[in-house]
Amino acid sequence: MAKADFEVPVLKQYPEIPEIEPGVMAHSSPFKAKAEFQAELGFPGELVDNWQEKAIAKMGDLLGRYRSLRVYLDACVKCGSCTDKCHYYLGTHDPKNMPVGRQDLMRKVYRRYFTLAGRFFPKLVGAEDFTEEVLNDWYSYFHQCSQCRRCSVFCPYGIDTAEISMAAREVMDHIGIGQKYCNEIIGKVYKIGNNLGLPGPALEDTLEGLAEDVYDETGVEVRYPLDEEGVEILLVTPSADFFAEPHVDGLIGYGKVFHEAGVSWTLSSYASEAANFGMFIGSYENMRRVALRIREAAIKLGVKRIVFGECGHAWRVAYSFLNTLAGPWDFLDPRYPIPQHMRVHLGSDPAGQAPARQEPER
Amino acid sequence: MVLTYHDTCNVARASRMGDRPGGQFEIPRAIIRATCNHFYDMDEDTIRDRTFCCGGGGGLLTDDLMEVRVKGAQPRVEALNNVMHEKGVTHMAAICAICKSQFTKVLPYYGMDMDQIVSVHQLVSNALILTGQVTDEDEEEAADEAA
Repeated sequence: MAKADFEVPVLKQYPEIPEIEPGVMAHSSPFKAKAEFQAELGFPGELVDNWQEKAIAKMGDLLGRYRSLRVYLDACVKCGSCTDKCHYYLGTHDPKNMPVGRQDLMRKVYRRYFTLAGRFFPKLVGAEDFTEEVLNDWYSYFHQCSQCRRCSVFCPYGIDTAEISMAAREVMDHIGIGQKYCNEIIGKVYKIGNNLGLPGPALEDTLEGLAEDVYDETGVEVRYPLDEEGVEILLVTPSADFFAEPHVDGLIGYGKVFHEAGVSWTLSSYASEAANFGMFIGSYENMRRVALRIREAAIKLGVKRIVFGECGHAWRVAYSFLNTLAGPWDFLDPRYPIPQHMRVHLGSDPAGQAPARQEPER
Repeated sequence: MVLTYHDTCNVARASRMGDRPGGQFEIPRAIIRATCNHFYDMDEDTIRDRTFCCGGGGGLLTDDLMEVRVKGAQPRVEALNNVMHEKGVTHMAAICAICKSQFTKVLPYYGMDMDQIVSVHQLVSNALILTGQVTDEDEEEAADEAA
């Protein structure tokens, strides 16, 4: 059993809604990004002098760009539906991890600077100045939200806490406070092509090894091509698939499915990453820059279809945003949806039998 | 192997797979059922569009946030623990790199095994018999015939 320097929750037979324990997670904050990594993404390296003014200006910019953000900040009636829906609240018991508690961190600042009542009678409407204390809370609690959007399923107004948390991270990045993990990873994508910083030769090596393993196991020559021009499909998959367990077993599976379906395909060393952390930090510009790599690779390789591997948020970026983010995709085969998810079409074999033949479905 | 399936948040909510609503829930399950003999879903309140996050999504998959990752995984791991006890589930399949990495790291904190998390296409890979592939069964048959 792994050792923890904190209390690991006890698993119960039935879910229990915990009593609140205010402030128990206030100490949890991720490492901050160093100046050099911030610059690469177009953000100031450290907290700027007039940060409060800059942060409020950025908030104003986002409120103007995203009507949804203003609606979410205005619409909450404190009904309580979301309070027991966040896994971080259920696991930590900190009321600022209730979706409404998290939203209120931004809502109180919004009311203070962007509503009439908040400007003149802040105390009456729960408005607060954007103080350093509030900023610390932002950095801590907006990095205790995984932007999973479970709360928005239960909110009668459909308030999407994920979008609020993305906006908060974007505001913080613009005053020089970035999260090390996300921002360094985005930097690696720009420099090398993927989150893990695996260069082309390393990928080639791995793929050759996989082909050998499959041959040893099955006696069939299944290819795992890289940067092959003129093939039908570009497979874009999270870089963890190249070496982590159990991810790599999935990559072996993609190759077998393509092989058996008889379609030509390739991976790209330039677009060797499906993940797009630009979404996590709420930065449209960085999300676009990462997504454009897929477009460039698809054009260069001359593929007709783009298929995404097993990755959750990559699929959201692909399915919901890719057309406007990096389109138009008029050079791809219009008979297939754009983009496609890696999945298989099942034969009519009885359940439990390994399908004799599987193929990627459109 | 007795399987269950973890719906990944970003595929489950406000997204789709295939050409029908809910395809993102049905297609992965249909694939898993075709690759194994035993499949059981976790509690209804914890799957499909009500799925619980693995606890490591949204840019939190980093060691400096281990406490929040482990604690945030509790609702999902609790549901998994219940089907392990009630249905004898041994493995959980996922279709997200973050979910897989997170569970691999976090399950041991709850006394579970990191190998209990598998890729959906790993299951496909194991089940798929390639054209021309010689399997153990073929070899046994050939041996029987020769005998």
